Amino acid sequence: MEEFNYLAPESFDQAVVAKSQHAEKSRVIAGGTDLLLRMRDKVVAPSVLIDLRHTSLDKILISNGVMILGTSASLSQILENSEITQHFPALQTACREFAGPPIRNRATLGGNIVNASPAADLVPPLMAYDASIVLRASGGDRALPLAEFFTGPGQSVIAPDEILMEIQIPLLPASSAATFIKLGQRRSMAISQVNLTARLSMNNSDCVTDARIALGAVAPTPVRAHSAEDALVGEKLSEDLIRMAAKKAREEITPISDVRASLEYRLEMTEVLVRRALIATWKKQRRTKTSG
Amino acid sequence: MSDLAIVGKWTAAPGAREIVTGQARYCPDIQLPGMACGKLLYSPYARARIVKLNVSAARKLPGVFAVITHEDIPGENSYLYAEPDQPLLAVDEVRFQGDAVAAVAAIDARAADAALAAIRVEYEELPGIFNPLEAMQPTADQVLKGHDNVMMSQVYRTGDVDAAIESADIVIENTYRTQWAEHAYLEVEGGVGLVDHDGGITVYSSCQAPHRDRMQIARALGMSESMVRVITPYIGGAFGAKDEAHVQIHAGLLAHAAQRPVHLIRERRESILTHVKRHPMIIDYTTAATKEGQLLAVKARVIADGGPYSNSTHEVVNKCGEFIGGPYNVENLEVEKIAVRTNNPICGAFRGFGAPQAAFVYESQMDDLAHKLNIDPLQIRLLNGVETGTKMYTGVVVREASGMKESLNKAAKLIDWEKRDEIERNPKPHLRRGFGMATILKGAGLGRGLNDHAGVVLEMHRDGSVVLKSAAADMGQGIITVMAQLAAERLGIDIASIRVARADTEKAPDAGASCASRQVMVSGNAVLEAADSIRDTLLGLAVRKTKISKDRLDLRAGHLVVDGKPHEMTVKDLALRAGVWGYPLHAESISHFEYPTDVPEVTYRYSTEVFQFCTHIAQVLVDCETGQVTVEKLVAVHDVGKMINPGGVYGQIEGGIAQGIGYALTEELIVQNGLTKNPSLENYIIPMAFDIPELEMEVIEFPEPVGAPLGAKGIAEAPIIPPAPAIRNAIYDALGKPLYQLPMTPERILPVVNLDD
Repeated sequence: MEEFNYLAPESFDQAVVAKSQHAEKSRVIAGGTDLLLRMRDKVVAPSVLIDLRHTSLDKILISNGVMILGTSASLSQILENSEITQHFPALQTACREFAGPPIRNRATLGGNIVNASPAADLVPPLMAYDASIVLRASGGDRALPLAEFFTGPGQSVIAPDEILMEIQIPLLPASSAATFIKLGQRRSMAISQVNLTARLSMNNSDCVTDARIALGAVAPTPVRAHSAEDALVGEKLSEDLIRMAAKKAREEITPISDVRASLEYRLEMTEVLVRRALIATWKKQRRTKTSG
Repeated sequence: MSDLAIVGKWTAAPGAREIVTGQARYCPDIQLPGMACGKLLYSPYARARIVKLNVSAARKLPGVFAVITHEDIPGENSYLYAEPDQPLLAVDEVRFQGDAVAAVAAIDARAADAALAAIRVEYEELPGIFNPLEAMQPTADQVLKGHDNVMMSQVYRTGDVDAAIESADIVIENTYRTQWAEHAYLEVEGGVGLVDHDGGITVYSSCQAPHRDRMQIARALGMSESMVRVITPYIGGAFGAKDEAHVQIHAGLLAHAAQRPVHLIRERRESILTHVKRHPMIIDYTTAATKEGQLLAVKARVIADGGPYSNSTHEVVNKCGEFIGGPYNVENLEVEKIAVRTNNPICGAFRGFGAPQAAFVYESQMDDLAHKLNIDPLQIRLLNGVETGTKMYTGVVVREASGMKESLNKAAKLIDWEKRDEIERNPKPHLRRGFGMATILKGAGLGRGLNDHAGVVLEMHRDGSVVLKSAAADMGQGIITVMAQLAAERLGIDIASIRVARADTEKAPDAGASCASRQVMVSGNAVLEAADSIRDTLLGLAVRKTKISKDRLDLRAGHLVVDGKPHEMTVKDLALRAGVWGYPLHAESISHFEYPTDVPEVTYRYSTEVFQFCTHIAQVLVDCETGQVTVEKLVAVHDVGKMINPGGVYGQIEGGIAQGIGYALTEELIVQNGLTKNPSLENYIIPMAFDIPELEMEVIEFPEPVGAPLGAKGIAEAPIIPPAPAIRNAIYDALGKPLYQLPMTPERILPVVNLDD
């Protein structure tokens, strides 16, 4: 590991000033579960580390119909939050299947996003829930949909002087349900071979009014399966329809072969898992209706 | 002797408190005044000629104490294998990704890294030889100049195999493939070298064979063995990969060159790239049987990829051949054993030592036979299983084999084998459940004709406390606990009164390597002999004092015992008396593994003669859409002869099963053109807690009649062997389709499922 200066600002404002000052030469550290390994392996060699842990950016709260998650909220915090259980259970499922308890205690939501890994587990549920993010620089804030953040493996639109400040998720109508599924090589401590979240909103006659299918580890960035979503919206849900949508999702993705899975396996699993996620979501909808 | 007081009872292992509270010191924890950081420069290529190697710039850097290449090795530049063909530091060519080229010692890790970066190596990459089948061809380029790529080619025959195959009702032929497997211990390889006051060298080493390491270090330094001392601190696992020396020789060389202590600890990536792996093998296997399922003949050809250097390839492949017929009565057997040099990762010892590959094959083959003949897998194994007195295909007569069929029957009972069809087989349309068994044997000890002995030193002090000095390395497998229990049993004291010194070549005689599941037997026997000698002295003093004849006396729970009743005189009293009267309570014993001479001719070379038997049965659920396999339950029944430390035995079984499940389903070093693609525990997938099913374990005890202390025949290797074939057979049962390659990953299972669709 190369030598670096370590800054631990007491406020987020100070962190933003430091970031604008050191720009490309600096990296923001929160949990460090990914960054420190990449520094050890000399994939990145920042000369300044700006630690966000003292900047109180780990708040999780609801304000004006929007859930706001601070960038350094840990995965364990998200898992334990009852409002997330109520509104965004698929995000919690993703947290539960992420690594193991010690890493979940350290790893942060913001870190999982900013790393821009195509396999990031928290991104598909956030995308399916229409999350947006707020980036702050000394010049001001900019907000954008999470789906527009990623540009390639490890690449995003974040500017050298910007820090991811918070994640915003609009509260959803009760008619919406979502399912997260992860496929890994073992049951914990696994990087996803494929991960995804399907979310459906439906009316009383089983007609899909809104659909989201967000996929990870099957393209250079996390992606939405738009044509599969389009195939569902406005239609009455059936197993045949779901099978057709799952096929479309498979056609939309551009996976690679790596040490975790082959391209062919990822294609096939995407179809299987999209189908399973849609069926599971459909069942959740029915349960909500019968119980409601 | 009366009932056992300590042997067979649960006990806190000596050192356990230190380990769980973080007080135990392992090689990486050692800090000495003036200690330098050592590092090695490894080859990034699978095969390349070293055109230029220049270390002068590195030597001039500030804080650099020593930079050495092959030219700076005072003694022999090779490891001490049967064939010493691996250089410690490469000379003119690197032959696998991980061959060491140079070594540095510097004031800290940064300076050491800077020194490595300043070493100028000019490589000319050469076309590597990566396919063992191509490497075997006479026209193939030699991996190691002057050495045939085929480093071993032997055929062993007994009976008339071809005639038996000719006369058989059924003949089954298959080809099996296994993978490179990584040991993935907690503590990577490391050593600390230091210079003694008289110029000698001491090395702290995370190793399995301290005395053999001493020999190797002395040889490399060109010193006499008496000038070298090897000490093992706590060791965080080894599983065979620390059987042969790794970096401890380099630690000694660097300490000598720098004339100061040197700390040389590999990083995980370096560890995975450089230490030996389990051999990948291609095994052609033919089974011939009658229509009733009676085995008539086995014919096998084993081709093992050993990487560029011999290491223990000969021995591993020989053991694979020794167990190739399984725990079965096979009168006609032929096995061709071939080991090949390539530019792939170097292979050597790994828990099971060739037996896991053999068992995957013979137990898969047994189920294929059972399926074809429509015979129950349990019945076909009982029909063919060896029995006490059976003359094996190796020529060895099994002296106690009751554990073979008993483990089968017990395991079948534990999982309710007869009623397995009452369990839901298709809980969901895409899920299929299956049951599979595997029963195996594993020899304990090195084998007939090999030097298989261990020594200990035992001292009882005037206060009744005891020091036990042994050079048997305890890597976590628990030999220290076993030795303390055996000594405590014979001396009538509790285990807490015994301090076991960690292995140190200057304190204790050679105990050989902690390998081949042998230390319970060899070191165990040595401890019993030494303890009995002190016990005799104590009892003799008791006779003098009490005038009661010796045959009425015993030592137990700290007291002299007369006719089974505690006497007021304690072991401490006797120890004090011994001190006062001048009877030193000091005993040394060197015990040799006993190979009976009054037996028929043993025809298989280096055959073992004490066998651990065990049976595992797995229940699996296969997801036919994703190919994922869930091991839902696994029952394991092991014959250990005599259980000395139950916690140790059950721990070994649990750990072995976990490692075996990894070998079966996920673990695979991915090697392309000699380069390892997953040299990290992120991508080399060992099982974690959630991947381990409900385990039901049972230990059975059929004491070994000859050569084993109290009948105990060890446990260490057996548990890793059956999970792979048991899980394979369970998947076969679930899908109705067999698999012939490890690991059985989802991507290998899916095509088999699709055949049905």
